[in-house]
Amino acid sequence: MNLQHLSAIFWPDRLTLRQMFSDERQRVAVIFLPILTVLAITSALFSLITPWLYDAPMIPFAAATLMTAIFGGGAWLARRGKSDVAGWVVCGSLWLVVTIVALFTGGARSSATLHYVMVALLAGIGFGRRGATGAVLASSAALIGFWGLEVTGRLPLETPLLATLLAYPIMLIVTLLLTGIILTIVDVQLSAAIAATKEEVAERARAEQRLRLALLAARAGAWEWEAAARAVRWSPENYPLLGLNPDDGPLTFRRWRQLIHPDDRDSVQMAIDRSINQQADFEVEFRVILPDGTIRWLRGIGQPVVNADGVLQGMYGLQIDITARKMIEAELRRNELYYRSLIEDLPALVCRFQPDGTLTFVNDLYCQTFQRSRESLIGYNFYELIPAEQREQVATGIAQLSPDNPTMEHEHEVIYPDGSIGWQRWVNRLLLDVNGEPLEYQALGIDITTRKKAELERERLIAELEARNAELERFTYTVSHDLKSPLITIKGFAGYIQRDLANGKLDRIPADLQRITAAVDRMYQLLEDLLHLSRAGRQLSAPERISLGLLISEAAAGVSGRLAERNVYLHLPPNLPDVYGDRTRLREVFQNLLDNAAKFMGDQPAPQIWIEAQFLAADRMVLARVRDNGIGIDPRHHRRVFDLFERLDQRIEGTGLGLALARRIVEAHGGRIWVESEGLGKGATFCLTLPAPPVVEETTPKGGTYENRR
Amino acid sequence: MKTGVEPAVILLVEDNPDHTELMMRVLTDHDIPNHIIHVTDGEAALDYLWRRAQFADPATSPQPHVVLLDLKLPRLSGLEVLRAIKTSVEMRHIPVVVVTTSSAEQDLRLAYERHANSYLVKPVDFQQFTQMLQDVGNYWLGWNRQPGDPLLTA
Repeated sequence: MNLQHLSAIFWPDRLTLRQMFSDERQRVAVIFLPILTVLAITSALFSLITPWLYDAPMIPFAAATLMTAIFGGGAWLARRGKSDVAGWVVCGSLWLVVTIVALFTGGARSSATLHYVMVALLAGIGFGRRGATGAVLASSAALIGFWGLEVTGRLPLETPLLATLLAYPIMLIVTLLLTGIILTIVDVQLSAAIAATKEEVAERARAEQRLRLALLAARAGAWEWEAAARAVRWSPENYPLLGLNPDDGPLTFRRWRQLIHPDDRDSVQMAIDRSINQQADFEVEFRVILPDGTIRWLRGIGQPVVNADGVLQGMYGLQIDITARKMIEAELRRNELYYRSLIEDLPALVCRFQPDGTLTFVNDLYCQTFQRSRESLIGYNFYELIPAEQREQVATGIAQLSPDNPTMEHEHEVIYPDGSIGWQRWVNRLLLDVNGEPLEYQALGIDITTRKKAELERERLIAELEARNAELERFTYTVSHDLKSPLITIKGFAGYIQRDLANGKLDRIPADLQRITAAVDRMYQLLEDLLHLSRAGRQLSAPERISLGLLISEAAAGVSGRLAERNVYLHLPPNLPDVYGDRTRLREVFQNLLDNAAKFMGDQPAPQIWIEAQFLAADRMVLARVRDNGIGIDPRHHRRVFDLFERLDQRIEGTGLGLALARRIVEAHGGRIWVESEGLGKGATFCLTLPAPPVVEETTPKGGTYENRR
Repeated sequence: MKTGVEPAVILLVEDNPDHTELMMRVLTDHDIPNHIIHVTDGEAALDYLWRRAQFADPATSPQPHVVLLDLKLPRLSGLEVLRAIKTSVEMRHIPVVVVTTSSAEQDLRLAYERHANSYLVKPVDFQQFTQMLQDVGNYWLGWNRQPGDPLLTA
């Protein structure tokens, strides 16, 4: 046992004390240990000085030595925590030794009896009030016994054991010193214990303060119900929570119940009953009406306290002000209602989707528009509703959305349930979560098919108008030129005829007259063609199914003079497909093409024209070809040949209107006309597309070729 | 005034045979002797000037003193012929006189933008028509001088 350890026994620090005082036995041991140690040492010293104190020191020496052993044993026991045994051993042995010593040293008058005080003190420390009382009674009984023995003369005689004169004061001093030491030790230990307790109380107060702050911050009040006391205790925070003034009287369960909103009283009572009956946690949300009339939402939570036998002892819990949360909840519900109704009542399609196009939400109109249930659309990829060739364009636009640029608009085609293609205009928005991270996309769309169609129609009309205007401009320009030209010719040769007549030169007059006549004819033809052109393409007769073979035969008959003149052979194969259009106008087209081919045969010795035709199933058109082996056309002029008044070769008669007229009629039918030729001397092929007749309950011919039934 | 031995060469680019005849009548009767080369389309005109195809021989295809150019020509329009001549270092000195029926503002503007030397509208009136061609002959074959003109020093 080192010195520090020893000092710890006499002067323990607070921590040790707090631990020790948590146990009653430990507490006794702590006081016993130093006292018994001191007593053992004192007894040993006393035994050593007995020869000087007593004439016959045998008995005192034996007693002191015995006590040294007893005190030492007691200290040993106390150190092992057996303070009960130590108490009994020490008190009992001491009492016996004192009584026996006193019996032989003068009974009540013996100085040894002073040691009864020590017995009482030790018993008091070890066993409390009962111990002290017991020791006092036992000692008193011994003293009365001594008196009885002395009176009856049965007390052993004062023997040479009698102490010297010095023994008395020494004995008294030692006893007083020991008493003082015992009291000092007790006092020291008690003071330490009290200090520790004070510390604990202060800590508890701080904890309570913290709890109170927590309650205040949470706008909560604590309560505690003790089943045995049949009462609820309310923490002070409950008063402001319920709008009460503590001065107006204490809060009771009855008063609390009265503050609850009438509509909520039943549910609160049910929650309480359930918690008590099932010993389950208590939880309920309810309203209270404060004395000033305001309504506040509270959330009550509680836990039952059950003893070891499973009997409910009470309950403790909190009530928390959740008005703010309830207000926010109500606000959220209201907003949800607003936006929900907006989304459903808007005359627009609304959807939300993930970056890959998977729909996460669609409104009613969206479902109606695509005639699908909401369930089948959620999880469906909306790109499926867009024609394949437009998907990438839409995806590219959506991929460009970012937190800095969260919205974009676009228009694209969609496939409607009936298979038709419509147009929709969409506003896409990137939705961000509270941290500003992309969440998903929301889009709002409207059908703009009507507008788009009108737009396209308008654009087409504008283009047509522009084309017409350009043509008109060209027309007036050319007309002014082409009508003026014959006039110059007529005036010029007329002038020469006049001059020649005056001079009597008659030889070239007939030729000049011929030129004038031809010029007049050309003017007439030009005027005729112009009138024709102004009618062409403006109004078509009702379309009819026409056999292309028949049509071309009629056209060939119309220009038979020209064909015969050039000795042209026309190859017209059987089984040509039917076309659909204005018979008279289409005949004009082929007349012009045949006439044109015949005119540009050049010096071809065996002029021929081949007719070919095929049905184009994909766009339900008929492609017809008029091929010749004439002079051909330089590829540079392929586009110009269809222009008004365009004449590539002035030696060839004509007004330059024939092919322009053909183009106009073909285009009025929705077809196209173009020329293919490898160049001069290689012949030319005029190609044109014309509509095929609509399908009227007939089997599609096999092999994709169109059979002409005649 | 030219009284030269060599007749002045005129390149007449005109597709209308009647107009050609009328113009030839005035010019062949002209006081100033001239030799008219007539082509009926723009390509032929360029072939002549650059001595291509049938015009390869310089003896039969001398460089003209003046080109009388119609605008509305088959194959290659007069304006394109004009541009070809005026963008060529060898040819751009040759005076080109546009003679056309068109009095359209656009034609006039385009012709001058392409450096036509003169723009004449064929008059409908016979007297004016002949007078204009007389004047063309007088001016371009008579009064007008151009570099490399051998008559200048004569």
